[in-house]
Amino acid sequence: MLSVARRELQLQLRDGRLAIAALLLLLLLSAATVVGWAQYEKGEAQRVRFAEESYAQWLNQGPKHPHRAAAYGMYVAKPETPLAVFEPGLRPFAGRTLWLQAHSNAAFSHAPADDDLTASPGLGETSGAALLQLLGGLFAMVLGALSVARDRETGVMRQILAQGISPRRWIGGKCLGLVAALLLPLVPFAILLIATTAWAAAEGAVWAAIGRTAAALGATLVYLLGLLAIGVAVSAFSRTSRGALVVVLSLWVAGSVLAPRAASLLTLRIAPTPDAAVYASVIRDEFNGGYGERPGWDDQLAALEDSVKAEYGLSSLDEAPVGFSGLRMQAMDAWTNEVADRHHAQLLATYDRQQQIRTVLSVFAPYLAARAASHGFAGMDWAHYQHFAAAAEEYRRAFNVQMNEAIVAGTRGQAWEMNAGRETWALAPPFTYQEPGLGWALRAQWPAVSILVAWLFGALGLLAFAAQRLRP
Amino acid sequence: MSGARLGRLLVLETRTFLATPLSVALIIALALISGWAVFGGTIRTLETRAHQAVALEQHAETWAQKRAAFIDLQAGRIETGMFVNPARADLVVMSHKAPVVTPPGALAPLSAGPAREGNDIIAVSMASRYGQQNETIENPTNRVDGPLDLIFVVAWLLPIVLLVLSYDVLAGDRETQISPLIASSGTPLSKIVLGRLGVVFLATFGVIGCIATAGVVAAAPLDQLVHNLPDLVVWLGSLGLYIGFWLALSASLNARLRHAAAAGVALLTIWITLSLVTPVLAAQWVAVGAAAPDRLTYVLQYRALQNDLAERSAEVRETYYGANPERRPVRGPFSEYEEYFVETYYPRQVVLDQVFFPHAREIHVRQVAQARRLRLAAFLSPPLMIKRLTDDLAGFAPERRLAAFDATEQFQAAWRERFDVKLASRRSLTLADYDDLPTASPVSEAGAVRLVRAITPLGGLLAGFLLAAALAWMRLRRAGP
Amino acid sequence: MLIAEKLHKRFGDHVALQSLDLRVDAGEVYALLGPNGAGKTTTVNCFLGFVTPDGGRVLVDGVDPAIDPQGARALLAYIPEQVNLYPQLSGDENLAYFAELGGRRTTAAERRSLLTEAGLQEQAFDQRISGYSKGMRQKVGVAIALAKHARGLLLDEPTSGLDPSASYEFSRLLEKLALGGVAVLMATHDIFRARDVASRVGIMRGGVLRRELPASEISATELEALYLGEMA
Repeated sequence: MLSVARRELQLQLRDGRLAIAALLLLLLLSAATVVGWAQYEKGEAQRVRFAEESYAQWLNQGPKHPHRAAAYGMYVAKPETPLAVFEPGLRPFAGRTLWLQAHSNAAFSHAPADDDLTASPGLGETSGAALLQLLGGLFAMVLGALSVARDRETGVMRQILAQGISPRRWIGGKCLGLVAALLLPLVPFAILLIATTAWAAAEGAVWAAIGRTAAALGATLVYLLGLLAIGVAVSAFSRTSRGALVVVLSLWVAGSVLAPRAASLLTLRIAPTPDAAVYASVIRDEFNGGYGERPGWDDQLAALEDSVKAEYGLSSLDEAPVGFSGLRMQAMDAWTNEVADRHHAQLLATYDRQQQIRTVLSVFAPYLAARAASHGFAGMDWAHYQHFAAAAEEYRRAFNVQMNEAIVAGTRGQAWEMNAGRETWALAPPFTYQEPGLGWALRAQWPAVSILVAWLFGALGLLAFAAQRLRP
Repeated sequence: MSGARLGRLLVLETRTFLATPLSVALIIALALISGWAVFGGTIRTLETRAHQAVALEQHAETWAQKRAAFIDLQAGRIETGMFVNPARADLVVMSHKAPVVTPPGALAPLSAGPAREGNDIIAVSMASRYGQQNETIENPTNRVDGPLDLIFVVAWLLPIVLLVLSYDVLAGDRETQISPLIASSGTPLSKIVLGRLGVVFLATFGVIGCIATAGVVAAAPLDQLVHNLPDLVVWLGSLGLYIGFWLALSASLNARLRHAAAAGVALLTIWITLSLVTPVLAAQWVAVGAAAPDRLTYVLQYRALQNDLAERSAEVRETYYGANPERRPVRGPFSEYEEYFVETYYPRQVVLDQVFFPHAREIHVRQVAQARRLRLAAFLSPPLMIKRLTDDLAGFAPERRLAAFDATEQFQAAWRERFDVKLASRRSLTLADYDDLPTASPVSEAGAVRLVRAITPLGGLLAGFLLAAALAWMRLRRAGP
Repeated sequence: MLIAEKLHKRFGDHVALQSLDLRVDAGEVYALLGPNGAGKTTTVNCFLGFVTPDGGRVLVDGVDPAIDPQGARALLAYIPEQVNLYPQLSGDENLAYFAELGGRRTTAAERRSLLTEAGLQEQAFDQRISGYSKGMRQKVGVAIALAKHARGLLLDEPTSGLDPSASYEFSRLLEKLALGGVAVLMATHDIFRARDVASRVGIMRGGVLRRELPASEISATELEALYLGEMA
């Protein structure tokens, strides 16, 4: 089998087209990574500047009412793993910044694609990972498709089988040779990429960066090997190489070009994300009108007024020894959070359902699984964005509570106006964020990885079946 | 070749085409996907129109309720409260949001554009709108692949369908050694190829053209239909050129190659280059020459300005009253809330807008610069050209967004002009203030402006087609069996 | 060595072989004559295990290719009308590859000797096959067969398209192989070559072996007359 593999590799190497295609792929991947590196560097520099300046603006906002300070709020931006040079994932369509302020839950804004026409020109994938999955996939399938059918077409297969070698061993050897041909441009690139991400990683995060890169490349390799096996199986079933080409091209278009958009369409049909305006108005209505046994805000405020009066034995809130406006803000925020959390939980359930639908669909189109795994290992999938948003929201609530406590302490009775200064703003420490580790990403990606592995084994099974039925 | 003979050839080749199950299946699949995409686009367009209509109705309805409340107040049927008083402009106007809508473009059913959230409704109030966040709750995983709209089918999938239908138009016959027989029939090979590709052209153009036309007609209000006609004609022309370009490429390769697989691989390589690689290069060229607006820097600038104005709020207020003496409050505040919003918050919003307007506009100006460069860059790639052309005609040209920005700016100025003396000076509203509610006209763009913008990509498509066709014709004339 | 017993094969409605009995002993060259569609290639394919008979059986030195195709093929060498080799490889590289597939590792010296024995000129050994003529490719095919030390040799129109001197050389090579104890089954249209090289000749038509006769007892002209008579 090894001699067949060796010879197959030799044949592929002598075929100038393969060498050109491999070289082009390598060049494209490298160019995309260089561009990706520049974007990553620029983005990270911007993020650091943004984090520093935004916090400085928070601290330096001058004397004002603590609630107005909270309404001014601050911005935080999601950090990226070094693998984002290769796999920017959702970056173009997910803003990386969150405005943390008094009145509403943190939500991402400023998606690059909203402002930058080149972030989504509508055609063409610009990232190295997308090119590898798309073009590498096509390369693997075409490589496989032309293999057996061409030997059948030229009559070589007849003579080979007449030599007494078993079809299974012959096809197995051919596959090994094709795998080697496929790996030729990919191995140097993988080494380069691992070195790049290790270089870009912060101190102490080098192994995490290497682990994430290796996991992403590993998942992509499983995907490509599966496609190669499918290509060879199609080739073994086809009488002509043109027939095999048409079949693999159709499979590639359906699985890699059409499937992602169809999957999005289906996902949104089955589990639509609520309209942002409607979502906000539902929360607003519930805040005012209450839900279930819980009364709306006006009733809760009346109850709060009564309880404060009772607690301090007051006839009027103007006599309160503490700032009632601060207590009111605290109650209002607690109620806002309660209502928002209810709906946010539903929103998260919708996201989960969308994810489940995608996972089911990726059983039919492994490209979706390969991409999901790649996004996930690069820390650029929605789960990672959500992880960041949750941390930011926790921070937002904490500084909001601090500002409300400052109002309670700084006013008396029903008075509202007061001013606080830098020492109050400094109660909110700079936002820090610890991104989840590789283990977290692996746990999140196990369905995608399992589907890819299952596809590989399925493809190998199909290949074994094709080899068994092989006729010259 | 006479017209009658060409007609007979077309009929003959149509029969062969229809007798090939793969060809028929592909055309049916193309029709289904296109139909699905256009159906989705039509629904999306109708929904956008409906949302915009609802927003305008709500604007009028809410205002009517406020007016009714004012009448009730005057008639003594209701009492005022801390936050309820239909005679106080700060309470009535500050919370009111008036919509400025940008209706869907002429060919909106054919492209979802960058698929932003919302329905192209900009809410205008007395407050500054530059501080508004474009926050989203959409899962970006649903956006990252782009929508399954007709332009995706046309720009991406159609060339693959054309490739499969035409890659072996002559090489296949050479491979099976039928071509000498055909060549000896008396009809030149070039004409036979023309006949075969003509059938493919008619089938694909017919299917997509009919479906697109149906979508555009179904989504447009009757009075708009005539205005949309030139856009549709231009687009159908572009579609024809685009299909012709790919078929000419196929003919050109088939003129020489002896193996269908070789022709197929060559065409696939061209498709990858033009559809995948070149758009990336074009995007890089645009990014270098027309950098995207740096939104985060704008955010920091805006916040720094907010801080500065907040710190100088007394100065800002006095400057504002100095410049607008009639806006100085004629009475003291009812509450510290009214005091803050009328005397501090509102003047600051006006100054914020004055100072920040050029920066906010710059975002759209930069997008226009990007679009202009992208239209030129699209010359490298016919798929990018037809995508750009369709997006522009579907209403997603950044120029249109800039026009919407300017129209919103004008409307906000008019809206403030109408109310801010009453608001700032704390004069009571009268019934006359409630009449003639200012309502923004939908943002529109003259048809000629749209079509002039389409000239660049259309010219590119024409040039691409003519080049490919000339090359094909020269090579086919010398093609042997 | 090569035995077909009551061999029957249909392809749809077409009967390709009908009760074919055939036997080629070691050291014998058997020429199977017949028009296109007579069943010659199907017979060869049955011995190679590329086609499974619907009835009867074939045996290659006692091994049934329908049951153990690899086992049967290991005993056989095969030269088709058009020897198809990898055009990107040289004659020497193709020989090395095919010999290894047949289970035999060869040294460079052995391969040179085999190619020389097959009649290929030395300067062509390291040239790519894409530059070879049909006759040269045929010679590499012979070298591959020689390398395998097969006990049976199956030939399907081996001299079709070869010039007379190449055909002559090929015939002498077959004789040499037969002398070495190889059983040779040759499907051909070439009456003259069949008469010249074969020890026995079989005439097929419509999947039936119509006549079988020793070549030494008949002249080429008589064989031609007999053949035409059977086809009439």
